[in-house]
Amino acid sequence: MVKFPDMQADWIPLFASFATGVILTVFLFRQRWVESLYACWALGGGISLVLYVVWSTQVGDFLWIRLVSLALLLVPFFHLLNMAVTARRVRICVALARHPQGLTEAKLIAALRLESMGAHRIRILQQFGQVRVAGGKVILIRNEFLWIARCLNQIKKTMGIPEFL
Amino acid sequence: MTGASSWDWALFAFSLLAALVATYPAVENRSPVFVAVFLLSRAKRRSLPAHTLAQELKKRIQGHQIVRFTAQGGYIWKNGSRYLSTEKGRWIGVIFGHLQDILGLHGKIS
Repeated sequence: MVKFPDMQADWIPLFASFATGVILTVFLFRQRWVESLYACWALGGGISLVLYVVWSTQVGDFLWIRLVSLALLLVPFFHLLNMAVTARRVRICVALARHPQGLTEAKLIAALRLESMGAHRIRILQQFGQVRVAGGKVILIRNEFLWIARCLNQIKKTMGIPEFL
Repeated sequence: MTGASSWDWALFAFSLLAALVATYPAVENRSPVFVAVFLLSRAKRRSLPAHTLAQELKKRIQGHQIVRFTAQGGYIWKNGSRYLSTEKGRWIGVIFGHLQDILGLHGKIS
């Protein structure tokens, strides 16, 4: 039988770093300095990890397993944020929760805000320096996102999931 | 890993499981950003007019199909010409509605 000792104060760096990462990610996204939720999370999460390393090293209680756990905990946190921001079914549920008397199909489709989707994605690509917009044309100027997309497509193919295109 | 207690291993197991559960839908997701990158990479001179790119992205997401899938998933149901939340859909709507408010998104109907 595994015996769990009492949790001690040396856990504070781990949970405080996680909380800092969560708050920082939400703060950055709310400010809209960076359009991409992923970039906000990467910044917030990255600072959270660094904070844990610095803090726990200073109190002499650094553990690799806690650093890995912290990094892993940031994944479902991002998934929750991503669902709130981009998941279309969630948007429909939120729209209906705000209009309990019900909505027509046209109103539900309007709640998906598909009209602004293209412009928003172009702004994200611009902020990452992947595209240049000139004379109403969008030009792909870098390849990093393309490489990531190809890798993800390969994973999708292996898992039997429909690919991007 | 010396010094790791049972709590450390328990937290590690929990976070690993949570990360794995969250990863599958992330891989399954058809991110419009990556779709846009693919469309541009396959276009002549790797460029497309902004409105064409927006249209191409919109074309791949059928609004009525999403509504139908949401109903099939048991989140909403149709009552005459209107859709209403099921109990499951209402909980998701309330919880994520609060989260959207925290994130500064105001899910108003446009």
